[in-house]
Amino acid sequence: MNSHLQTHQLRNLGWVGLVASIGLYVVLQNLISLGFGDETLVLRTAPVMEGQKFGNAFVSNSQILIVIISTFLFASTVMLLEKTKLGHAIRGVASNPDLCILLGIDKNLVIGWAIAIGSGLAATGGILSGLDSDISPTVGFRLLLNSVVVMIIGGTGGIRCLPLAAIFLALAQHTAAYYLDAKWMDSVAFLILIIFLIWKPLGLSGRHFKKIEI
Amino acid sequence: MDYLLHLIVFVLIYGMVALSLNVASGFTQLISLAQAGFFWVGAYTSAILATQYGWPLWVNLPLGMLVAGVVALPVALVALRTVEDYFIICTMGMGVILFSVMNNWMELTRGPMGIPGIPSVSLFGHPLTEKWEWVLLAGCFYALVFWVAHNFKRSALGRILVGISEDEIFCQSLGKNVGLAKLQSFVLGAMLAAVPGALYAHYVSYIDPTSFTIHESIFVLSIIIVGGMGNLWGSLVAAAFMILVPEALRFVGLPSGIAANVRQMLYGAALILVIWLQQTKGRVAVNNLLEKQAKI
Repeated sequence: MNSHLQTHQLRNLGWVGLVASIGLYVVLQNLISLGFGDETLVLRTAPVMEGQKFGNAFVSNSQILIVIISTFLFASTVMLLEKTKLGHAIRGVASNPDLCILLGIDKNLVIGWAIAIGSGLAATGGILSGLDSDISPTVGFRLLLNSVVVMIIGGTGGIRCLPLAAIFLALAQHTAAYYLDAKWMDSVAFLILIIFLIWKPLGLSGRHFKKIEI
Repeated sequence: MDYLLHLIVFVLIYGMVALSLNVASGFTQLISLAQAGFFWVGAYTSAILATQYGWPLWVNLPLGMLVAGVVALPVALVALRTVEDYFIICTMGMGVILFSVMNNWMELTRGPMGIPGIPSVSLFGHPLTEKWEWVLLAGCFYALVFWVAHNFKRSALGRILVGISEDEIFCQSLGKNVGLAKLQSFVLGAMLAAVPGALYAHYVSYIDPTSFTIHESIFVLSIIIVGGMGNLWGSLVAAAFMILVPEALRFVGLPSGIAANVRQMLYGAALILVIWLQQTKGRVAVNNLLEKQAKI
């Protein structure tokens, strides 16, 4: 009976977190919209320059900066998760929270750290994308959609396949924009997600994850 | 007075959408964010048939339900392969795809320009122009949808769904076809969402894609979470609360530019608050039970 109650509670927690975070998203977006208005704002301070030429492509300086910073952050996140004590604790809580409590790991503290690090990375992503394209209160939604798709097709088990998934998604979206129309970019992202959920539900990494299996 | 009746029509329409979401996800606890999409399918089917062919609501509404059901079937087949968070994300993706289709398929839906001039409903040759007549009409449909949802909850299928929300694998081990039950409830929920959609199109007489974004799905979700998942009367009370409170803010003298933001913040905050209260209350209840068990 005890275990039944506990599993029931855990099961409910499954969607509760996501729904509450959607609520938080709505509140934050509207706070920003109240504070800064709905119009599109420009983040960059320097005038637009031609950028560097690689073959036939022009790459702006801010885009080069984005590539460097995100590669660095990805590498350090991998290092954090695989080499440090905190990283081990985060992965431990992800795979078996009950066992972690037995081993003296403070579950809530670790979850707090994970959320803090994740939010920091998300904020960096927001700033970097703001450098490239301009910002408005609703700009986060598209980033969110794309990153969720990348997370699932990259495989939720580990993070090493994520860059591969991100490049794959970006290529697919821009191929669609080139051959069809830019307006279908969001739909293409989700079509890819659906295809993955049907034929490759474990993502590119192929690791098992309890929520997708049933 | 007309303003108040107008608000009542809206409460009834959103109450119906909340009921349909309750059928689709309230009993199984599989939260769908595609409901505004099916609401849209009902509204657009009805609007297109009414403006292009001049058909009345009585023909458009069943056809809208049919189209919504046909659209929902593949959506459900794909989305139901996942559970919990992934189900929410997957249905959110379906909602985005449906929105893109209606926003970009210019030939059929006229895209962002919307469909104007949808005729009002006429009953026995008498066109419904007064607000109170619309309240009666929406009330009748609300009662009908409520009756369907109520009986659905008590039916054999409804009991399987409640079983799924408690323990899916145990339910399966009793020989219940869990997948089929989830599929049926999802499709039925989508078909019911088309009813308020058709009414909305004929009532407002102009529809455009911006009334059916993902925010609309979140709004309906917050209605059923505030009203209690699977609680049918709660949906109506919560719909009234969520629609009337932001309207009341108008009389406080908020400028209309801010009012829209405040309305959205209100339902976002309600979502967080209710979940927080439920979680703490649930945890206290579980702890009390565990203590009682320990004493025995």
